[in-house]
Amino acid sequence: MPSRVLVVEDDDAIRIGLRLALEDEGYAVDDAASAEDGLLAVRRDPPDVMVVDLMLGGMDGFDFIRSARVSCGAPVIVVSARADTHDIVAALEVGADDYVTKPFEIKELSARLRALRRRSASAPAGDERRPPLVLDGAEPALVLDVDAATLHRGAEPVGLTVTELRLLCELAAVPGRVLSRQQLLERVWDRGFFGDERIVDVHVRRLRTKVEIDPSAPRTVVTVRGLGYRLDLS
Amino acid sequence: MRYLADVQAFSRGPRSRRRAGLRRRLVVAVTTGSVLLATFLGTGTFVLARGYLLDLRERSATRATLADAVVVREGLRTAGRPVSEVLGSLSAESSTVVALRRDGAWYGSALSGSAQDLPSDVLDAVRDGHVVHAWTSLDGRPAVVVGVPLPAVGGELFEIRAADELSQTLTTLRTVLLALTLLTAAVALAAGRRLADVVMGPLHEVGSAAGRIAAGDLGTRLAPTDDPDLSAIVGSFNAMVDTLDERLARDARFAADVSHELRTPLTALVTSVEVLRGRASAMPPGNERLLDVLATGLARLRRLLEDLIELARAEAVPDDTSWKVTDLRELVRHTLTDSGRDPDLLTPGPAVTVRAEPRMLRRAVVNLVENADAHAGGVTRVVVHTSTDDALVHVDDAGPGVPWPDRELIFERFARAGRRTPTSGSGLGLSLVRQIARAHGGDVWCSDTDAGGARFTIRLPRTTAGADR
Repeated sequence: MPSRVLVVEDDDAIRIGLRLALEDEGYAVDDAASAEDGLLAVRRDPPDVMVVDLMLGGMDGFDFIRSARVSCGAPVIVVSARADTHDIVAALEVGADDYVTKPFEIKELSARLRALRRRSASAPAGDERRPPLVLDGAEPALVLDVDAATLHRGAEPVGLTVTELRLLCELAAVPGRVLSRQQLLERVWDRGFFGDERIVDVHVRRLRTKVEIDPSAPRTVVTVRGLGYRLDLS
Repeated sequence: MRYLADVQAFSRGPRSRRRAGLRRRLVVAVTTGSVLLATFLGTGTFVLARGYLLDLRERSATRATLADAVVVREGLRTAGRPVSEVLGSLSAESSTVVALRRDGAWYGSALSGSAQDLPSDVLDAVRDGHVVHAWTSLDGRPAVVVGVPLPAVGGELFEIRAADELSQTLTTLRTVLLALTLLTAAVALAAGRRLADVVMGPLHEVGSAAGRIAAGDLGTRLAPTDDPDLSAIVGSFNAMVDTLDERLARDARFAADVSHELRTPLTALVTSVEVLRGRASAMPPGNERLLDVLATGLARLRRLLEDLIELARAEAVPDDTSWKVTDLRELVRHTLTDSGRDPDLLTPGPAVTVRAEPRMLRRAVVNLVENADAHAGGVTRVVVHTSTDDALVHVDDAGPGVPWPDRELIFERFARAGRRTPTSGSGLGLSLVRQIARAHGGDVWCSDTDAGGARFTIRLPRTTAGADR
């Protein structure tokens, strides 16, 4: 079954072009000309991945992402026409997973889409089921089940986006070991040497608000100054 | 602006030899004026004091001689007393020469003969019945002579007094005045320099502020002053910079706005053409070539737009969040491989760390490499190495090199120097490289290789690897 992409873009020419291009790439495409229509589409038929323009008439892209995130953890790729990089960071903060800047080529966008739709690279080849991993010593404890792709605190599921979960899985695959921003960019986002490391930083921040008891004093996902991030089991 | 500043710096050299600087002229004027004034006052003082002292000396000599004349006259009236006895009875100081001429014969207390050497106009005036005083010399020393006619006894009395102490006083006075004049000159020189500093200080400030502004630091302003003479200059200078700053910002904003507005339609075009190319097999053969033309033109347009946007970014205040300490060698290697080039073009070596915005720096390297592809038969070698404080990237090409006069020109926007024909370049490539290098605190220039090709060198300040975040 093809991946379903939702394109939210108010410029007709780009929306039509994107729709045709992504259909040619093998995606099932739904589109919306406004954030409001986009939210209806998300509710009606949750997509596997979303492509969202930040500058929309009426409700803007930031609001759309914030609202869509309430019910949908599917990856969001932001399309930005503004070179103002604060916009990109702001979009990542409200829940976007990655971005492309206009003018982009379709192969660039589909590379991003592929990366975010990829199965976790750290999944072992064998079919042996990995035991759930207890991440902290709090009561109730935080438990990650990599194979079921779930995170629970006690009996309560913790709502992570697809990308947040993959980031956590990458860190949990090598507990106690530092992963550099470059390594994380490569493994989770499939970005190379020139990837934007702020993507990692913002995602770690977002992840902490969901997994840490006190996000301002992280004990599970810790920063190693000058090197990167490490997952500490305790 | 920078170019203009260089030209001015260059022309400053020879001109200074022809014409003294304002500072020097100020010092010379103050010193000369003070010395002239001191000399005038000193000379005046000396002349007045000398006249007064000489007059005083003459009066006292005249008074003493007149008194002696009375004694001599009375003595000679007493018949029978010899002249020498009368003269000997005078209680004159030993240094005083007394001489009496009577009936053509000279009598003296100390017949040194100097009396006979008296100036003839003095002798004549006394013979005509006048009391006369005049300056002469006694054994080579200055002396005052006073002559008094004694008609009652048919003689003339002369007394010559040495004025040693007077001439010593005058010498001392002259020395003191000369010393004072020299002191005045020294003080005036120091004061002149200080004055020149005071006057030149604000000018220097204006000059260095203008220099910083020309070098691109548009935040530079002169500090406000409460000096009413300077505040007007400072005010209008700062107003000028404000206007300039605003104007530049407006121009940059306009360029950025235009670029951004162009992005959306261009994206639609790029996407549509890509869809068409993907479906090219379903099209009649002739259309495929047309599609290629369209795609090539679009790629060029896109490149121009990206360069414009990057140029605006490089000009803007750097966004610190995306800067980091980076291994320049790794960056260059990745740039080569990402653009599908042979990473062996880069000569191996140790890591060289710089603080940079990696994507911006990548664009600089890409532009140099693409410039070599477009104009000079491609890159032959890329070298990353270091000098004391700097990291250097050489990009050598296989072309004929860039002639001297064009080596600066090629970094101008839309400058296509000499034989270089417009090809795929945006015309902004090299100027963007320069803008990016300067945004990193470095620069870029063009020289030649041993093989005669062009060598473009990017210089960046080095940083030590370590704590970045």
